[in-house]
Amino acid sequence: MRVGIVGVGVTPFRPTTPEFSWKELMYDGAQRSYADAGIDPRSDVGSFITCAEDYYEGFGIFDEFTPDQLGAVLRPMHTVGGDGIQGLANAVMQIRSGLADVVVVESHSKASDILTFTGIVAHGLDPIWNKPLGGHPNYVAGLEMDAFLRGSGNRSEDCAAVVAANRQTALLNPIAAYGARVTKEQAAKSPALWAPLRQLDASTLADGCVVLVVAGEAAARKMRSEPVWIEGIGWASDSPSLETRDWVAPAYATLAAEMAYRLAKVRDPARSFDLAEVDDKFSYKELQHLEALRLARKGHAGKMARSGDLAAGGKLPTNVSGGSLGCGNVLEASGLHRVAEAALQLRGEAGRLQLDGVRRAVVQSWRGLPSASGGVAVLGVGR
Amino acid sequence: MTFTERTTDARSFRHWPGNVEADYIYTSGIAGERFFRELRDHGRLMGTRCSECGTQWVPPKLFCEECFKEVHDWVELPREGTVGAACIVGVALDGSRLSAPEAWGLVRFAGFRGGFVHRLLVTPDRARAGLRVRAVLKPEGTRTGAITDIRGFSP
Ligand SMILES: [Zn+2]
Repeated sequence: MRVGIVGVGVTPFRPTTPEFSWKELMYDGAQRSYADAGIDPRSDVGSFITCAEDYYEGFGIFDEFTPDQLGAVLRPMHTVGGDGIQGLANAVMQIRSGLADVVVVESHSKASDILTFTGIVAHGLDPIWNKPLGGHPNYVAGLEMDAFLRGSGNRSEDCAAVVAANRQTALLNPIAAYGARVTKEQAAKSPALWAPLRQLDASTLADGCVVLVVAGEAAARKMRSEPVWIEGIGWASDSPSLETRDWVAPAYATLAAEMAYRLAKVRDPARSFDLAEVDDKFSYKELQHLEALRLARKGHAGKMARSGDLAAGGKLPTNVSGGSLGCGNVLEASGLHRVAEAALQLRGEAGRLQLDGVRRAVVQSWRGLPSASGGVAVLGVGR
Repeated sequence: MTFTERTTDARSFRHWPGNVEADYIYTSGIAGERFFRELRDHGRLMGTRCSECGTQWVPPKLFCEECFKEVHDWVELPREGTVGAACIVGVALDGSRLSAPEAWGLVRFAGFRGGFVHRLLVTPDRARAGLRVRAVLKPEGTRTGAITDIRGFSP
């Protein structure tokens, strides 16, 4: 049975949201998605899934706090402690196993409520072997960037090209918080706070909520919008410790892609997609993920970024939404955000960002520092 | 917009400051206990070796990540390791600029899976992959049996 995305709701991403509680932010995203699908959550939804991490929320046992603002009171619901694509995979399984016909998947960021985000990242480090040493935890990204650039042959100028491209294309995305005319030169000269990683190589936190309505084929056909089919989905984690993980090639992305490609019968990824949305919470991550997903040959992602292959109209338009660098880092909602961007492209509803003839897209997520986990989804329209 | 009315007066927004009171002790475990005793009492860095697949682990593990067998054998690390990746950090945890940037490195040891992510006790221009380094320990008698007993790694 095919499973499709039939409702897309994204609140505009913003650096702060002082007027909304996080629950109101979720209600806002849910209303948009339900209006898009044309459903009433109190009668038309079989199961609700939220994707969140307690430390990002600021209180314990997040899943106890979620039903009302989604229309999910007294209905089956649970929270996935992971990225939105991992929640989307749960929705696919619930529908394909016959547990539900229609499932809602939600994730959000109210990062502006977090006063000490760096401390939360540091708290994600091993409490015996890593955290006692202190230090700004972005050293993990700086080390990985160094390992990746030297191990793959990509260059730091390529990372600056990614920053410039994603910040600039975000100017065309009405939901983006950080669109700006940043140049490669500016990116390459921004303070090297975690050298080789520079300030502009890192995405900035944003608030926002993404809600998707997902349905089995029969239910999807009755909905208002054209279904975007989830042709394949996968998730994986690398070896769990900083010391044992692969610092050059992100195994979590490679394995998640293998799983999604197997389900979607993708054999030659580099020639299979009209659009890619891959995680770029740090600029080098975009290049690293493109190679892990076999969308670029090893050591060639940077050249693609430099030469315009990743731009709208290029060989493989990548992160034309602006990505996390341009739109903002919405934490566990990052994967769902990119699924939403790809779904709008596939529906031909991406506004000024719309590309021609988008029939199949690949989306990839990473849970952010200091994790080595993420997901991949293959999306398509037609047939 | 999804709400019928929205506040437009920014002065009226209210929030409640809060924090999480959550203190812990973290148990080193059997493998960690042995590693930190060796470090504190003898100044030695030890790893474990899986008798099933032969993989040598540092930090030491009592179970093998590759074959899931229990691991019993202990082996000492070579004195010298190699920097596999380096990073120069210019900001403190609170975001303030450091007056003297600090070098971090991923230090690998021949024959071992893993290594240490730790400070490199060199000037930033010398901190780079390929540098051969040794652990610099706190003096005997001042070590407490923690990763901070290693001050860092230097050539
Ligand atoms: Zn083994």
